[in-house]
Amino acid sequence: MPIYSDLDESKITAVLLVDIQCIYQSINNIVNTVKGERLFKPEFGVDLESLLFELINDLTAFSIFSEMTAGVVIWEPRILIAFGQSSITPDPANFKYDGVVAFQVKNLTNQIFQYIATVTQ
Amino acid sequence: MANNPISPQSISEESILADLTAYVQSKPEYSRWKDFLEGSAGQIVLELIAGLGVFRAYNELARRLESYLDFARLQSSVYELAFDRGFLVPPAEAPELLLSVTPNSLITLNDGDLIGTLQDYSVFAIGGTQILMAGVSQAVTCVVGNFEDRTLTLATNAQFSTVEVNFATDATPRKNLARQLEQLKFGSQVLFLIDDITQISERGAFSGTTPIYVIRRALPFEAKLYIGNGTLGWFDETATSIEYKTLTFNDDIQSKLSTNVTLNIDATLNSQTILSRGSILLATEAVRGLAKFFPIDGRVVQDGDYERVILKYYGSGGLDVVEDVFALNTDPDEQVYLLTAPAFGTRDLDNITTLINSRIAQGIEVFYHQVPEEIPIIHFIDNGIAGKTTVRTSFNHGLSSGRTIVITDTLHYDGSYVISNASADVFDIPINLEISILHFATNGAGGTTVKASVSHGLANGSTVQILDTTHYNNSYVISNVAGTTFDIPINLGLSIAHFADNGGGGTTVSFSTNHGLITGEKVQITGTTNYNTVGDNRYTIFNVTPTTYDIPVAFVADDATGISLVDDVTGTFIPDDATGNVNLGTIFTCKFNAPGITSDQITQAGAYFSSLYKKFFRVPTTISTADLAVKLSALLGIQVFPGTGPITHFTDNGGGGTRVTTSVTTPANGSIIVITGTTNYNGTYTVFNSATTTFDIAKVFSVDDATGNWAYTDLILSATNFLKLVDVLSWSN
Repeated sequence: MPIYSDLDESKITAVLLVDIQCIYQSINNIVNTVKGERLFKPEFGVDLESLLFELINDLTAFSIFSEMTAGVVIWEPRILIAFGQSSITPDPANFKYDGVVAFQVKNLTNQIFQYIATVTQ
Repeated sequence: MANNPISPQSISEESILADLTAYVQSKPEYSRWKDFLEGSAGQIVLELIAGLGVFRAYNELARRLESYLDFARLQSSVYELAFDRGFLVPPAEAPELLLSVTPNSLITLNDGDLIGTLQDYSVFAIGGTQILMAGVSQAVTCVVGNFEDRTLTLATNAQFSTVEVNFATDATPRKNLARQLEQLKFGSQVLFLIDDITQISERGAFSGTTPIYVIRRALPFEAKLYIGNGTLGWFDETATSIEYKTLTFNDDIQSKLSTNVTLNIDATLNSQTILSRGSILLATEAVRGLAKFFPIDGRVVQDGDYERVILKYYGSGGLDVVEDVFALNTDPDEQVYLLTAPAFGTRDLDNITTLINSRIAQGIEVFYHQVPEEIPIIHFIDNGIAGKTTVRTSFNHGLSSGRTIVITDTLHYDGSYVISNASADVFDIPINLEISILHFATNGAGGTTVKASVSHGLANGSTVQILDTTHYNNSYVISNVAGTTFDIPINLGLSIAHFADNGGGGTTVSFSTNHGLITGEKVQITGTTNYNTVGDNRYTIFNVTPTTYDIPVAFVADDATGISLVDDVTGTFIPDDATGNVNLGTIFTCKFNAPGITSDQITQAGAYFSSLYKKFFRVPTTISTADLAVKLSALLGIQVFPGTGPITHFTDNGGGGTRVTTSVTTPANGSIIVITGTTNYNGTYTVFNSATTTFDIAKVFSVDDATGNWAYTDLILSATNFLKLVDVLSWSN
């Protein structure tokens, strides 16, 4: 039996995702939700929009990384972020940031997983 | 749970979400998801449903709030709720101008004559017929607006038609309907429109004695007309159409009032002044506030109520009381007795109250009295139902089962009862005074003595109904009453012709006529030498032929005389008092002594009069007048004089009258009292020289009876501020 299970939001019919698939879906929901967007949970999500129009430099990259990992830590308590293996890299030429959030899932395995995010306007 | 995942009590997002979560978690583990963190897709779905549920719950709550006058936010809700309570919103007023004109020729103006235009509005003369002299500057009052009319064809001459005249869809912005120059024609008959019942006498035209008018209910951009065919709600039976004509105006009229009127008459405009900028309907908050003074028995008033409550009655067949109320006009001192017909219900009392209120609004003093409402009883009848007795009244009583009545003036049945099986002139009361009969015997004087099983407590002259016997069932007036016996005026005794040996050890009794008895019946034999029954002993007869029967006693001799009386040895009777009254209570109202209340105050109070419905109290006769006075004092917050008091002395007042000393608060000067319980002073008097413990009556002093009682003929309210009566909304019996 899986420890975690959730609806697969990419399917129309009721299909269940299990364990690490659920974690990925959850992180994806968190980082793709703007604060204030969720009904009755205005603090849910991460506030990246205001940062995306700042100068693309290391300072902004750090702010984006902080906002993103803070949101994930708050709203996805099942994981432990491996900050040493996580990173964010500004790519001014393409107007984006390449982020990697490395994490371990509690009570599941000691394996380190990576959530790779491309943050762009 | 499975059928109702969301509890009806759950109206918040948290509670709905909790219900949904519990619902999902109640499913088998293999068929559901387990993640309920905020980021999970399943949780997002649940939260979305919970959000929709919250919006739905909010919508329902909002609708609910719109149904209460205090909380409604929408104008339409407030107007409807106000109307439901009985408050009719005054219609709008169109702006009025005062024009100074100098005619070039003689001009005669009548109300409604077109005298000019004001941009896209018309200007009409008002203020009555006016003749304008040529060359002289004169003032003309006029109203601004555009006439519109609607003609509605009646499908039938339906009674109590309600007509809606709606101008809402005609223009944008929508139009206000003005009171000025408004006209309603029913066929060829012009009817008055009123929007307050207190205007009945002010504006009502009369056809003979019949007021003719129509209630108008004003709404934003709409008028509803309530027309009935009762005495007040009269209309022309032959009419097939209604024409409603009114001035309309938009809110933009305000910006045009400062421009000059272009005259259509042969005159020069010298100047113009705005007399009134007019008004639209009362604002929502004003309507909300005023409507609170209009509760009617705590129930919602329907459109149909207006047709009935306000329009239908007033002197229609049988309600003579209303005619009496009208008579107040000619004789303000007349006492109005509110006589009630059997079918006179609460609704009708409301009608009368409304009418009386309208009289008060005119400053007419209204005298209210107590009048017992009684229906005479003619019989009490055993109906065969255990524990019940049927009461028959002298006319159709109009009562319904379940109503509480009080029976008075009877020997056995006085008391309060809840009636059942009510119909026409009978109803049942839950009492049965049935008493068993042991014997019937000759009384030796041409009648029959009935022996009851217990002491019956009846009196000579009482009526009883005998039941459950073979030969004696009927109603009788009784006599020779003793503890357990009484006589009834019936004699079933038969003269015996002969006694003979029946050859079997018994005796054959023979008669010259058929005796009508059958085997097994019991007889009392008296007046013989050898065969008389003793005490309550009776012979059981056998070998019966039409003219003979045998008795189980040895033959001795043919006495050739005696009386045989059949004794049913069973049966019951109930006392039928054959008199009494069904007392339905007393219609109690108030008598206004209103010094200090000006007609202006009364007029100002007119808007509140409809809230005075509860001035009529139906008071059970079990409440004494004195108790009532105390209760009313507490309820009204104003003094109600005590209804009665003991008299301790009578003395000469030194002026040809008698001074009465009482131990309670004395009656007020001018009060009408009744003195009882004295030797020399019983009677009705008008009080004067009322002091702390004494008052005088116009009766020559003779001796000091030193006893007796005085009592008001009415309860009298000392109405130093009768508007307080507005607060009396909650007392009924």
